[in-house]
Amino acid sequence: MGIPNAERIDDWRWRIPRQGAMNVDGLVFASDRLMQDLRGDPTLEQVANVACLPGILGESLAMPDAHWGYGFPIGGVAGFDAEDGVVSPGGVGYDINCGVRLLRSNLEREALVPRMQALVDALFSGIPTGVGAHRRDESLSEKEERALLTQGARWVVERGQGWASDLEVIEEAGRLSGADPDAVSERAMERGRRQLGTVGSGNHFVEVGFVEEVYDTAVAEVLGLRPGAVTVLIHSGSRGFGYQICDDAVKEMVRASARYGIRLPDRQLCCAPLSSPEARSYLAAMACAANYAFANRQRMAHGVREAFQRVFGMGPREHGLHTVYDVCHNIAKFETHHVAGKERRVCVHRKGATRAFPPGHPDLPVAYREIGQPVLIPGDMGRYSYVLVGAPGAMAESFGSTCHGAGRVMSRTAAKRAARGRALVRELEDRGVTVRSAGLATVAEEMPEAYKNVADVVEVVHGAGLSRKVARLVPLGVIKG
Amino acid sequence: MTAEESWYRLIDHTGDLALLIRAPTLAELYATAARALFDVILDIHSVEPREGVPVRVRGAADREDLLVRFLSELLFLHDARGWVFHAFRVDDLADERLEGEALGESFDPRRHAILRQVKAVTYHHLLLSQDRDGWSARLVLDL
Repeated sequence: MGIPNAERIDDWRWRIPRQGAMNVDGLVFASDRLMQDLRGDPTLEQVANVACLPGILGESLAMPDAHWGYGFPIGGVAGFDAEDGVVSPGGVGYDINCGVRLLRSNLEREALVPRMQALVDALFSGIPTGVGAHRRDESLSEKEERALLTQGARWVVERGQGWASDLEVIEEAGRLSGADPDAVSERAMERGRRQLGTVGSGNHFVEVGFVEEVYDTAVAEVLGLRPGAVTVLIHSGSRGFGYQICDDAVKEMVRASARYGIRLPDRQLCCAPLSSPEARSYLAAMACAANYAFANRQRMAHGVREAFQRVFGMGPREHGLHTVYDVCHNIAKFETHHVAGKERRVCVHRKGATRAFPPGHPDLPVAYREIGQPVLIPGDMGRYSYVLVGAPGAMAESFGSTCHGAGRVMSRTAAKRAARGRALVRELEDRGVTVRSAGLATVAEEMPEAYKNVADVVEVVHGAGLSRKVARLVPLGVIKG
Repeated sequence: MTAEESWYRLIDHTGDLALLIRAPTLAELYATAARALFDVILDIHSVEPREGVPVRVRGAADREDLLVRFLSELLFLHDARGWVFHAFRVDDLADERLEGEALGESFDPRRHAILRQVKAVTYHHLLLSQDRDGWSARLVLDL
C-alpha cells in the first residue's frame, strides 16, 4: 500500500483515511513536531496495515512515541471484536508483558549521590543482566516453573522475595488469568528455567533516580512521590520465555492465517480468529508469559531492596522501597469498552502502549481508584521519565491506553555512527548519571539522542486527555544489559 | 566493536536491526545469515569452532520461513543452552527442511564479549531472492 498520508485533525491528532484493504481509519496521536519524524516513515504504513486485520474496531491507533516496529508499529494499539476479531502474537510482540515497575523510597537524593557508584555496582552484581548466558545461581524446577506461570508475582512473594503489599499495586494484581502451562512448548519452559530475575538487553534497565518535579501534588501524595525522594524504575519483561512463546505462536499463525483465509499485508501480522483453537492456545501461553514477566520484575524489585540494604545498611522500614505501581507495555487483554455508543467485549492489543484507566474504573486497586491508574513512562537514560495517571479521554478514544516511552528516533546503526569517538559513559557521568552495561554496544545504541524527547511525547497524551502528568523523575544511576 | 563484515550489511531500521545478506548459493546464504546473526550478538572471531552441534529444521512453509526457523533454532541454542557459534555448514537443503551443523563452543564471559542480545528473528520485510550473482536475503531482528 506504500506509506500513507496523515491528515491533521487538531493539535494532537492525525487521521489516516481508510483506503485499499483498510477496514477502519488510522488515528495517530502526535504534535506537529513529532509528526515531522513520522511523515514518510514506515510507522504510518504499519498503522494502515493493522487497520486491514479482520474485526478491528474503532481506529488503528498509534501513540505519540510510535516508531517503526516489525508488523505492528511500536506504540500501536488495536481493539478487536471478541467474537469476530483476531489475536495477533506480533501485535503483542516477542517480549510479552515487557513493562515497568516503579519503587519509591524514604531516602533523599542528597544521601544517595555520594554512594551512587557503590549502589550501581551492587545492583549490577545483584541483578544479573542475563546477557551472554542464563543465571547460574538460581534455576527453577519444572514444578516451580509451572506454579510461577499460573501465579505470577505472588509466587515470588510467597518465596520470601517481596512484600504482600507489592501485589496490590501491580496491573492485574501481578497475575493474568487464563494461564495454562500445558499450552507452553518444552523450549519455552527450558528458556525460562534460568532467566528469572534477569534484566535482558536493549532498552531494558534498572534505574535509580529521584522526583525532580511534581505537577499534581494531591495525586503525587497518594502515590507517595515527594520532591527529592529517591525512586527506582525497573524495565524488563518475560525474557527468553516470552520470546519463545511468541516465536512458537507466530510460526503456528503463519499457517493459521492461510487456513482461515486471512490476507496479510505483512507476514509478521499473522493472526487467528479469537474463537479458533490457535487463538485460545496462544492466549493461554501468552498469559503464562505475562505472569513470568510479573514474577521477573518482582524478583528484580527484591534484588533492588537487597542492594539498598547492602550499600546503606538499611532495613525495609528505613529505606521504605514500596512498589508504586507495575504496568504492562506489551499485552493483549479482554476488556469492556464503548465503541460507537455500544458496550463491547474487546481484545485490546497494546504493543508498546500502557493501559491508562481513569479514576473510578472498577479494575483499579482501591488505593488508586480516586486518582486513576498510575502510568509509568520511562525516557532515555540521560534525561527524565514521567509518572502519569489515566484519564477519561483514554476510555473514549484509545481503548483505555496511552503512550509507553520516548520511542526511538534514530536507528541503531545511526546511533553507532553518532557515538563514534565519544566517551558516552563519561558524558553521562558528567550529566550526573552513573551507567554500567553488560553489552558492549548497548550504551552507544541506547544513547539519549537515539530517542525522542519523552517530554514531547507526554505533552501529547496530556493535551489529548489520554492521561495526566503527575511527576517527573531524573536518573542518577542505571544498569543495562 | 566488530567491523561490519562485507558479507552482510546493516540496513537502517529505527526500531530494530535489519540485515542484508548475500551469498553465491542458497545453502551458503543460510550459513552466512547464521554467521551474520552471531556477528550481531558478539565478535565471532573470539569464538573457536571447538564443537559441532547438529541443527535440523523441518516443516517450513517455504524458503523464507525456513530461514527464520533455522536462525530461531540457533538463537534458542544460544539463549537456552549457552552456545556461541563461529561457523555453519548446511548439508541437506530443500524448501521446507534443512540439515547442517553449527560450530562453536560454550559461552565464556572471560573470552566472549557480548555486543547485544537478539530477542527474535522476525518475518517483517522478510525477503529472499536470486539474481545473476547469487542469492540475497533481507531480515529484521527484534532487539
